[in-house]
Amino acid sequence: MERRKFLTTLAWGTSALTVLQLDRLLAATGYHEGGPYNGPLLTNYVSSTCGACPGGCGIRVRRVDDIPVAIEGNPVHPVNRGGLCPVGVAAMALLIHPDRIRQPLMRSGPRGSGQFKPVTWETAEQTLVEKLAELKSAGTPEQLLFLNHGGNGLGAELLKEFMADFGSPNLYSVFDPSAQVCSTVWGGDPAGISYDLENAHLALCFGYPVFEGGDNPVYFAGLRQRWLSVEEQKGRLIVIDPRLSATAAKAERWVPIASGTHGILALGLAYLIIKERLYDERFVKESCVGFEDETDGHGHTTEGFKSLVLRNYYPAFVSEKTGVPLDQIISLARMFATTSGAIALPGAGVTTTVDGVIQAWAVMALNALTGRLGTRGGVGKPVEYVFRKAIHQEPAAPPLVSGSTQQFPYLSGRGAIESLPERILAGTPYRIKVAILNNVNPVYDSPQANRFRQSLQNIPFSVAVTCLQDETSLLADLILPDCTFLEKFDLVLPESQFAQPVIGLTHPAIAPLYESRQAEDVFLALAKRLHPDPWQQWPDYKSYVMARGRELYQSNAGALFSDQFTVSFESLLAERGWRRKEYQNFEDFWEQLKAAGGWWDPIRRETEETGRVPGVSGKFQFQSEALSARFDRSPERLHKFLLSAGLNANGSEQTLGSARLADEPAEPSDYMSLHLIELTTLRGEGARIEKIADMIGYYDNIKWQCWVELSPDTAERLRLQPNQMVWVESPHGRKQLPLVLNPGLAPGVAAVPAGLGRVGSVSYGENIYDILAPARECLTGIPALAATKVRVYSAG
Amino acid sequence: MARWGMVIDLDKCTACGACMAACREENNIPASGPELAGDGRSIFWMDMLTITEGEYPNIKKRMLPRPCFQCENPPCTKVCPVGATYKNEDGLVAQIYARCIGCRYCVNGCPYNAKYFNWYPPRFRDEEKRYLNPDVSVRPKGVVEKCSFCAHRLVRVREKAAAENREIADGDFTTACQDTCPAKAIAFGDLDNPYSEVSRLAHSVRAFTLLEDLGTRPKVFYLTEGEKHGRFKI
Repeated sequence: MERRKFLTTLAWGTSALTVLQLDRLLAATGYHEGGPYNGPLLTNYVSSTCGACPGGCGIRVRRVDDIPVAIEGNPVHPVNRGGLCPVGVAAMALLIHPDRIRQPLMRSGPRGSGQFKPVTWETAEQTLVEKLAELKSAGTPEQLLFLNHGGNGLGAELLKEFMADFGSPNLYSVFDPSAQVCSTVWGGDPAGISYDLENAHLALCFGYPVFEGGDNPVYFAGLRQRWLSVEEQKGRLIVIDPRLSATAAKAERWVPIASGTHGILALGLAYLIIKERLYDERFVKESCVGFEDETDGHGHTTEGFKSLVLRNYYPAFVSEKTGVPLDQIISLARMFATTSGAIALPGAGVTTTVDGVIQAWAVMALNALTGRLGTRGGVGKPVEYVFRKAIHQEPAAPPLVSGSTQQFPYLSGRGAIESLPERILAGTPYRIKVAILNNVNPVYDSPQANRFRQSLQNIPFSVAVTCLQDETSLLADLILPDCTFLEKFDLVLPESQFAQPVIGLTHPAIAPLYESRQAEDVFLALAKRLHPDPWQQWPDYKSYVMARGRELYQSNAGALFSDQFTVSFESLLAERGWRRKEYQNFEDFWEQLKAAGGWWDPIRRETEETGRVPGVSGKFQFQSEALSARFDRSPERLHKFLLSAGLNANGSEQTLGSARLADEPAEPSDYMSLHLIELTTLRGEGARIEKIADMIGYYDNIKWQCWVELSPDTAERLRLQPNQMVWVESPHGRKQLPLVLNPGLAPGVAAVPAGLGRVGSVSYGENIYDILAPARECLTGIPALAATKVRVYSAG
Repeated sequence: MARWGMVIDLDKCTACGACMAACREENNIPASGPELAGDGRSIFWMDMLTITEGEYPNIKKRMLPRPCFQCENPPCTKVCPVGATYKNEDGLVAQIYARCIGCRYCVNGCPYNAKYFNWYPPRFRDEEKRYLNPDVSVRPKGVVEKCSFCAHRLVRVREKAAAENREIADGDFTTACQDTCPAKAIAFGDLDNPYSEVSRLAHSVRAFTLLEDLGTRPKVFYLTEGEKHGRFKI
């Protein structure tokens, strides 16, 4: 070829390739397009705490060139020891979720229309400050309502201070309803209880699928691994539940039980334990009240727990009511009483019924009978934290919902929130002018969502602080974008029922994306603008957290998270009164805390005196003094109250927490109990993560949909075929769902997962909360989610 | 040469699904979306098999996490017309995506349904691409993929061991599912190393493999439920 021709061809060829963009052609093969980030690929890790649910697992965020690419478990975190649940692993998706609020939004259309216009942070803050200043200058600060999420960060402490300073008593937090019910059992001690599961040998879980629902399934999975890893299996798990959940399938024993009869079974076990004299007589005598019959000065005899149980809960009756065979009841009772370190745990299946407290009480009575209170491997006092402070400031006005009402004697937490709509709509005792909703979503997850919707529309100005657009924020006037936990800075107290004090650090793995700001920083800025003096000392929320961290350092207790060997070594030293000095000053302490991911006190429990019975009085009450006093010690009045709450029983029995319910009012025969399925994939905002939606019902291969489970017998009786569409109808509405046959479901129960049917771009399935009866637990007022009856029929 | 294998203890496993989610995060597997999931096009390198036996109330539900079994005698490699799937020098059944012609013979050849075909281009939003794992390539439309035993991690582990002038130690090479398992039910390592945890467990009386009679000789073993540990009679 001639040189000229060659050059010409080359020139044409090059320009042709440029024009055709060969790189695009190559990219079309998929290798470059959508390929991962291409940089120097330097990997580092940030220790933090998972915020996908309030469980508080430690995480290590893997960052490549400072971009977070994976969430891994923190192997030295005492709660999860390197493990995570599917939602925690996939939570990176929350960072760039399509529904994430990217800048402050002001409502531009009518309420609920979903029309918002972006505004600057300055405008948003100015608007909010003006509204609050108005309340303050009018002398009615109580007209501010604050609903806070159930997370355990220091933000809750900050908000308490903020609300006290502002002068409003209306701060309500969504506690874990189960923990709330359990604390009610202990005479309303708000701090609740802790379970020393590490040293337990048998966990009897009433309506508590520990590997899927409850406080922290990851912790329980790790616990079971530790139980199994020794040559002689150390601990065993028994699950009592109407549905064969994954927990029940993996437990040593699954005891199928008729829906809502956990309390009766607990008392049936108590009957056998008493009858066979397997109970701890000394403990019951010294540390419990109300066991034996008591005669007061006037010759009036109060029936004790013992006679009451022996009179009513004989095994044949219990077996008939619960559907548990006699031999199983007998073996359960003997096993529970004779295994040292056996704990009975009430879960959501017990606590979210109309008589949740009473049933939980019956379960707790088992722990008391066998002397498992305040002992190693038993039920103990809740752990105390150095910086959990009580704030005493007399507010100007009484709260909108007080701790105890005519209707609900122990109203607090979630129960109190459920009472709000009624007060807001009635405008008594005063009107609410401004509401701030920090990452709560009652318009979605309350059985009385409609009333919440109405009451939000009734409030002149409402602000939603949220990370993802949700049902509640759609009704707000102003939406403030919050950060995800991957962008936050905080100290977190995980797991209310964990037996050791644990404080995890939440450290940002990436700077806040878009225009989001950490909610606590926003509230601090707000507090400063409203009342500069007390807040000037904190330039930002980080400094507030650091100050608490300094208190932790100065307490000179506990240790940073470390491996099992170091923990054992330090415990050994501590028992001998020695202490390894890990850090010289606070800065050193903080640097090491950042690397480890948190602080805990493993030694504390080992060295302290045992024999600490939880609760206010220091004694377990088989007969609730407080409740009895509330009804003037009159069984008749209590009886009347319980009747009005829809329970039919003798008053004195109820006081004892031993609900012997009369036969339920005859329902039409095709109505059955609705059981809410708990799954690891449904934790937190799990259902809104696309990758989790792909595996939402993973062990039945169900994807991107909601479903209803029936036992094959029930389906046959109702002439329904598997996978056909059916209506699930309650007196409050109906939903169309595909039918899945579950041979491990008690007959006469319909099971549906809760947590689907959300707004936004990852929207699928149906929201089952819509058809739940607005029933509430009769003492605490929390939603009685398990109280709904439904019928199922063909939709075709 | 190490013989990489895995042991899954079904007693410890709580069937929480964390392994499935961790695998998808590690290996850049996109969510399939409702339509594709409905057509059975979702990709799970680690899946969960469920077997229910008996009748209420005497019923047993068994749940087995299922990765690729990395068979010693893999049926899938034998049917590949282009050598895109083959047993590599580490004994792992590997996929060369660029070579795959999408015939799906191997998908049908695998008796464990561990292989998945990409019917559509990966469904990642632009924003998402920045947060993918840079160690794993994203597979294009038209190729077959499956669990690789996190082979990309082996590359790093080998480099590190070489730099430190030592052999790869037990516990150096871990998989994403193993790291995330909250019950530590998954053991992984060299089956030929008599001192490794995985070989000890694989030789236990509880160990079994799926469909042993096919002669595929899987390198993923399960430990039976409720036999070693004294259980209560139901």
